[in-house]
Amino acid sequence: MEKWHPEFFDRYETATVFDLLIEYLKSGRIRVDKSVNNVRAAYHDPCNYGRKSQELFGHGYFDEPRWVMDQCMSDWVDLFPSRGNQYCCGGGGGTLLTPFKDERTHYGRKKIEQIRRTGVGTIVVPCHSCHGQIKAIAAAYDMPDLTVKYLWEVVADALVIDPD
Amino acid sequence: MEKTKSQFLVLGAGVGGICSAIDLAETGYSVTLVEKGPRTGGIMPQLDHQFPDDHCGMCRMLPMVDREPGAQTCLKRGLSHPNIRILTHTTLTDLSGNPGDYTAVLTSVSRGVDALRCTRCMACIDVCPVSVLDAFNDRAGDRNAIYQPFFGNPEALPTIDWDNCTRCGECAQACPNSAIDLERVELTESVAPVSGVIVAGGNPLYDPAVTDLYGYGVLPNVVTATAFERILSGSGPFRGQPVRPSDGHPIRRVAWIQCVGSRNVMIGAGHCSSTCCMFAVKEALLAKKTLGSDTDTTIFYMDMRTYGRDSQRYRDRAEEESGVRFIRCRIHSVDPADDPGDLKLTYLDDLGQPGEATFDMVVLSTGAGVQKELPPLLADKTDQGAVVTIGPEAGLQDIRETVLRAHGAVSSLLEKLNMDSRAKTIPKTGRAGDKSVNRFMQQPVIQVLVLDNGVVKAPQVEWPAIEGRLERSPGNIFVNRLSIIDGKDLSLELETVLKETRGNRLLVVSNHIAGYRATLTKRFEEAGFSAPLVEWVDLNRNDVSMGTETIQPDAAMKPIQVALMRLLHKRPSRGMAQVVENSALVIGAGPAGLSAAVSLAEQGVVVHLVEKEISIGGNGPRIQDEHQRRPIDQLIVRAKGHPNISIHTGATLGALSGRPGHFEGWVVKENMEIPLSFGAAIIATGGTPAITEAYGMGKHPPLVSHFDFEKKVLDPRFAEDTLNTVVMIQCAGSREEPRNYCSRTCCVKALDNALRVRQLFPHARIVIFYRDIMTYGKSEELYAKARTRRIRFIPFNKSKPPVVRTEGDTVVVDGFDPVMGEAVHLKADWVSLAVGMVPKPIHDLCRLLEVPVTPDGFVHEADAKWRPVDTINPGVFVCGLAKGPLRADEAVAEGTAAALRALRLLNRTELAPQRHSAVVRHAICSRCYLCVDSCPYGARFVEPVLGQVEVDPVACQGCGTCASVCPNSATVMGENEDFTVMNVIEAALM
Amino acid sequence: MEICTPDNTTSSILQSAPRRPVDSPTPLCLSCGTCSAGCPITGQSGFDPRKIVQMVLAGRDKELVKSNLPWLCTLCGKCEYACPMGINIISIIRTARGLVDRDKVPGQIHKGVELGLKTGNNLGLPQEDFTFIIEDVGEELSAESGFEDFMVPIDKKGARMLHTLHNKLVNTQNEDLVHWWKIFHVASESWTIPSVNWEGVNWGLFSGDNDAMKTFVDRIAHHMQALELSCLMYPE
Repeated sequence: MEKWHPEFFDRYETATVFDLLIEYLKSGRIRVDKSVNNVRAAYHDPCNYGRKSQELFGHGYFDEPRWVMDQCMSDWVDLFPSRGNQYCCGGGGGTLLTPFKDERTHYGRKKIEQIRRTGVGTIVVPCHSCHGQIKAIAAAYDMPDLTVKYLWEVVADALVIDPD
Repeated sequence: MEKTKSQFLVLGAGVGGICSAIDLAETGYSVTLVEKGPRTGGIMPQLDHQFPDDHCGMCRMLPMVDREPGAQTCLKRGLSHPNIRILTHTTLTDLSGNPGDYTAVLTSVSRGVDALRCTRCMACIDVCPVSVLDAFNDRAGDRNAIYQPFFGNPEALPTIDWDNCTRCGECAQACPNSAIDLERVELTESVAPVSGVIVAGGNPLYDPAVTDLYGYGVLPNVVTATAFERILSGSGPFRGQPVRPSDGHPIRRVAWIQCVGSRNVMIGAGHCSSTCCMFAVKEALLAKKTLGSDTDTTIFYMDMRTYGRDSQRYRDRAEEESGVRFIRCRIHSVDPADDPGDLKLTYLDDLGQPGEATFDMVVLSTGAGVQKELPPLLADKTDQGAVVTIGPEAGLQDIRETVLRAHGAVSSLLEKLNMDSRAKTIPKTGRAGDKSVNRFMQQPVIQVLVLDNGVVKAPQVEWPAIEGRLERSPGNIFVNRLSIIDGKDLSLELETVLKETRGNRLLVVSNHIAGYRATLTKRFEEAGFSAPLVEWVDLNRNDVSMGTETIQPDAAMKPIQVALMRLLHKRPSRGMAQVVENSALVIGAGPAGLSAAVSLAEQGVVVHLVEKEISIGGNGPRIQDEHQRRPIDQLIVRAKGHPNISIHTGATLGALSGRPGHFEGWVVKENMEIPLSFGAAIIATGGTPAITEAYGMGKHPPLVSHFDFEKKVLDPRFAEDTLNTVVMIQCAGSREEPRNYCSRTCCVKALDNALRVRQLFPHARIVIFYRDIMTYGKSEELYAKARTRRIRFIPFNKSKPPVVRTEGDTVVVDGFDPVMGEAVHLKADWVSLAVGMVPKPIHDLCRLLEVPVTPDGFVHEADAKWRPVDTINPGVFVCGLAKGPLRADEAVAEGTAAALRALRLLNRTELAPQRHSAVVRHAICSRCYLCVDSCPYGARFVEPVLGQVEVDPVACQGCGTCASVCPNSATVMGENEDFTVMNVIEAALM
Repeated sequence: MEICTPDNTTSSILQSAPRRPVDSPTPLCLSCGTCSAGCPITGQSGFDPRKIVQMVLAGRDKELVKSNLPWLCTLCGKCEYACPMGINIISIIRTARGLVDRDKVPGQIHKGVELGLKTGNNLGLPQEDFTFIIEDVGEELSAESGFEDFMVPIDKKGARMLHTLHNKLVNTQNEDLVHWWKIFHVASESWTIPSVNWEGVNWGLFSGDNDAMKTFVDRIAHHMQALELSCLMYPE
């Protein structure tokens, strides 16, 4: 966008998913009840929002999703390593669309090892590729009960809906 | 004692600071050693073992000549020297004036503990509720906010860590002597005139907490190399019973990750930190020693930089004999393994295959951190020449380099200030005619000083009873009692007693003496009681007081009797003080020898410069790079024109006799024998390119040494030919037996040559086969430059070197590229072999000088780290290629360092004999000469006329080796004869 | 920095792959193995990031482009994160992908790009089908308590925010469409989904196809203008 439409940023606002969720939560436009999400979860940093955003734009979205997690999860933990040095789930870069399933699954063992070490039943991601890949590797590595949720899904689940 | 006229400031009391302070002090100047932190010693007290002999050895920096035995022991516990004043918690806050006449302002922060009131009972430390990560253990343990900064020195004063102290007051309340003041006070003092300043600020280490790659600070079993050494140490957080920090499990598998914070352009660290490779090898061996020889130790590295003369063999022994594993792969990051606390590393092996291994602990070999900038008030003055820094520009240095730089800094400072050192008075006791020496000559008369300390809460002693018993003891004994009462100055009373006494030995007895010792020692020295004439008995010891508040006279008398016995057996010095000649012999006029000669000559020493060749300069004029050659050309000019230097070319040393301070011999020149006498000798005989037959050298014309290749490349005709491929092979015939050392200069030369070829032939293929690229320190940047200029680097193992063969007229090099996992075949126009350096033959010379030689024919220095330019002969020094491979600029620096060391000896007008020297009882000597062979200082010789074994009392260091090998007990050790020792033991058992 | 290639070999990858912000030239590579040690698929089907860099430095572009290697990488950047020399490993791999003949791009990526270019979404879903699915899911949501008045705002002119969709939500995972809708609804957000060119995933990024990538970006800009929107919500 910056490269091809430099004028775009003067004319329009842009917002990442994190900006929006934080805006809604901070301004009170939405309210959440974290007791609804009462299972222990872990958060996974997608490469693009974290490490690669840090590299290309000088800012990685590491703290923003964690703030959102704090608002709507009653108990959650970080994987190790996380943030800049996290492990990719194995589904990035379009690999989900290639026929190299064995390699992709092998790749994902690192993520599964990480999740297993934390002992959580739910993993929260803010990325479609990660969502799909983690589901696939959970099945491949004998973790069929692992729940994979979108970050906005846990927000939506915890929404307080006014009676009016 | 005469006051010295010039004083120097040394800022920073680490290895470099202490070394330069001792150098200055021993050259006759007074020194104020200023340290910002709470203690002296820098990193050394944290480390127990040093490559290559796996001992500490820091005490080897202490004076070896004309020293006072017992005046100083372990440098890790602190430093004391009559010419050095140490100020801890102190910084320089202003410096004004001109070189030779500065005024310095020093600001000290109070320790919070009164040295005179504190009895070191440590009740304050026990009650302190604050717990902080201990920097001394590099965060591998805790300490309180009031703590003892010197571990293992019971006399060290507790200190308040003001940053972490909460001022809760628990310590002050617990202190029985009201020694604690919780108000932080800053005191300033002005010091003038200051002749010059040496800045030895040290190098901070990289803090791995700033990166998340290694899990440092998160995974408790990931520690720095310093912390790991603390964990292994008997004085460390586990008190010598090392376990894994996370869970107390045994440590069975340890990995080292090299280059943490170094060789990384992403963090602005393009340099190599030079020291970490050998540190890791040493630590792996230490781990095996401490944790068991079956401990799995693995070092992950890029290049093992074993560029020191003895490093390669040490590393090979670690691998081949002790089973340390070396894996060439930089580690990406540390992951937790499945079992809690375990750590997992993934890597590529030598064949490029992925591997995975689990460890109990991971050690980060952290390199140099961000160098502190010189404060403006000092930076402004470095141009004036009287403010000298010890090598911050060179980055992190090992002990050896630091010591060399300290010697060099002192030398250049004295040279720049144009100090004719001989003109200064050497303020040392022990000289003939000195009061202390005279006292030694007399039969013992003992003056007892009873110091009744009424200031602190110390055990009560029935002094009259003790005094009575003392007076009734046999021998000439006089007793005086002095009281230490708060606010009352002892000095007048003390002065009277010391002045009027008939005693020639002093016995100090007190119910609490700590805190007064240093001041009293100085008073005693001034009154002509040097340290060996004084014995101390502090009754405030648990084995005497037995925890009671009153000490029984019987209990008190035991240690007093022991001390009395020791004093009664103090013998007068043997032998006479020996005159020192203010002249030196420098053998070899290459870069190192020229530098040493010029440096000595500038400081008023007469120098005889002897050179075997017909012209001077050694390898200097053959240096092709003009920038590197110029300083040596300048030295040649200076040496030729210097009035203090006489040059003998085409000459060798023919014979030698004498002792340190006064040698006599002659040089042989064209069948003439020219007699010479001199006080010290410096060996600077240099080296030459090695001859090798490796790779078929000498059989094919395109196969040349890298020295010859350099000449070819610089020849203008070289550019006229066509050139497709140049292959360079490093370590040809070296870094394996029998020539198993790194020649240190070849990698840089290969890179220089490769870059020159690249400049001439932008499209040529240039390939360097290497084992480890030895671009330590800043030269790492040259390696980076070569890569960006598309020089290809292919590593190989000692066991699988590339093969050079011929195909018709062409030379082909076959190798294997482990990164690509495939063979390479290169038709080469030129194959340049890094043949390395060998020393000139020096066995005959070293026999004359009584200096040992290494298996490779280099001069063996006294200690590779702590005394790098000394030899075990106190009158002989060594520098340059004669001692080990090095670059020309390093040789020049070593020459300056050797000059300074020689100057320490030559500065004296005479040398007092060592009081602890050995004596031969000729009547029972069987002349087996075992002692002559065993003496490590060459201090024993056979007197040619009678065939008797004689001891040079100046060279003898009193180590006792001779006494232990003598089958007849014909050798005795000064005061420590059987009779004396048995009497002292008897007194203790009474 | 001037870079010459020995043996007269040339590497177009080396010349065209952009450097990282640290601006290290690729030949600075130390071959130290950090990248390979950190990559989860090193050793799988011959994958080894260090080798890929060295192949490019040796001018062996063809060999790399012909292999599956560029497609095994997830472009996750963990290798670069620890690379001590700041080598542009990811952009080398992405550039290599771009040099693959489009008909030889493995799997769905290039097909998706082509469909995206042609139809406005990577599935090639016709507009009627799309609108049907979206409205159907919207209706389902309005059956839930608290969302009774919910309707999916398609092509709503003058709304504040543009919401694009990941094709898989429209395709197989309809149930995950509603999370954002719920949030928008409760937050009373003014938003819209375009009826055409609604694709929120730019597969041009993955296939190394910079032209396609630009087209997709152009479309977003066009929506903003045509629908008079003021805020772009970056695709998830």
